[in-house]
Amino acid sequence: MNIDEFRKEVLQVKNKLFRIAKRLLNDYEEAEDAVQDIFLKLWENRSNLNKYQNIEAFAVTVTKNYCIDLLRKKKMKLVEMNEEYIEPVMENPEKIFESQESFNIIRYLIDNLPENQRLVIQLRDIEGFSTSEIADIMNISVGNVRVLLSRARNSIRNILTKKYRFYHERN
Amino acid sequence: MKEIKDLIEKYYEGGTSLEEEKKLSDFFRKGDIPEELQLYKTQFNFYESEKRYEPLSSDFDDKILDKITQKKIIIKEPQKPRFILKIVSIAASLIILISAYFIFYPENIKDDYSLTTQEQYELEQTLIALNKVSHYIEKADHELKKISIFKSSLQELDKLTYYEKYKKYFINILGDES
Repeated sequence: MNIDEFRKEVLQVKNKLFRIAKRLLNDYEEAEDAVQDIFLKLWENRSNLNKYQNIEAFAVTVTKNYCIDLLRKKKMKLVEMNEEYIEPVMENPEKIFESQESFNIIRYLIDNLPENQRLVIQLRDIEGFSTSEIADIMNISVGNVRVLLSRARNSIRNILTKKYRFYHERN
Repeated sequence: MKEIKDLIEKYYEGGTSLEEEKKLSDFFRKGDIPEELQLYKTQFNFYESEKRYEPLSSDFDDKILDKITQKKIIIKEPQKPRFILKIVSIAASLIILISAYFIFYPENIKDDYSLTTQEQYELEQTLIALNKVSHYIEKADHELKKISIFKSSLQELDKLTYYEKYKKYFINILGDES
């Protein structure tokens, strides 16, 4: 693989990798550095890249592993969905369905999900990977992908519904 | 509408296919959504907007390509890192020598080592053993000196050959009168 092919076939997934890295790391700068490192790693292993039928899925797997390693190293304490969970404060509750306000809430909800639920939402609902691709990337069974997806989607819905009802009961 | 509601349920069970999810997303992108489904509209629209989030531009590509080509140059010219390595190793050995000087220089050695009785005993035993060794060496040295006496005696003996030589010489000159 030469530089031109690398640019066309591998570098073009940069924003996808960046979104996934940012979802996992919750930090713009760190995500950008991570994606840079990942591309340099991919370039060093360019002789093996043609072996993979789906270079994109392979690059995503590398990204996932890289970010999860980074999180382990930092021993980052992730806020999980439990009783201590702090719900986002809405500055303008009447604007709940206006995109920016509600988008911020959903973003906050996703970013506070457990790592694997966050990843599964990112890979499926945002990046649109197939269930079997996600199973490969996350190294779990297809059945587990469905279970994880269902759990993550419901977590988001439950909190959003609460917010929604709260707003309607007040009015 | 029933189809959409069924799909929503299936979606929350994690059972929808990618096409079904696209159908939901398309549905929520359109205008008039019933009040009870507003919540889902927000969610699906959020995912759509996240898909379009592309903060990395071609500047990023250039940065990566720069780094890749820089790496190539380094492979072609390995002298630089070796040169640095040399300087570092020289500096390291200097540090070791200087610290050795400070550690082992007699003035710096404090003689306040107090010995335990066990250590003293061992020290004495060692001294006795060393004395014995030096005694034997002296003795052996004495014996070795005899070799030099032997050597000088050999030299003396060598003179006998001269005696024989001169004897013949004198005999020749004086004739065989003796």
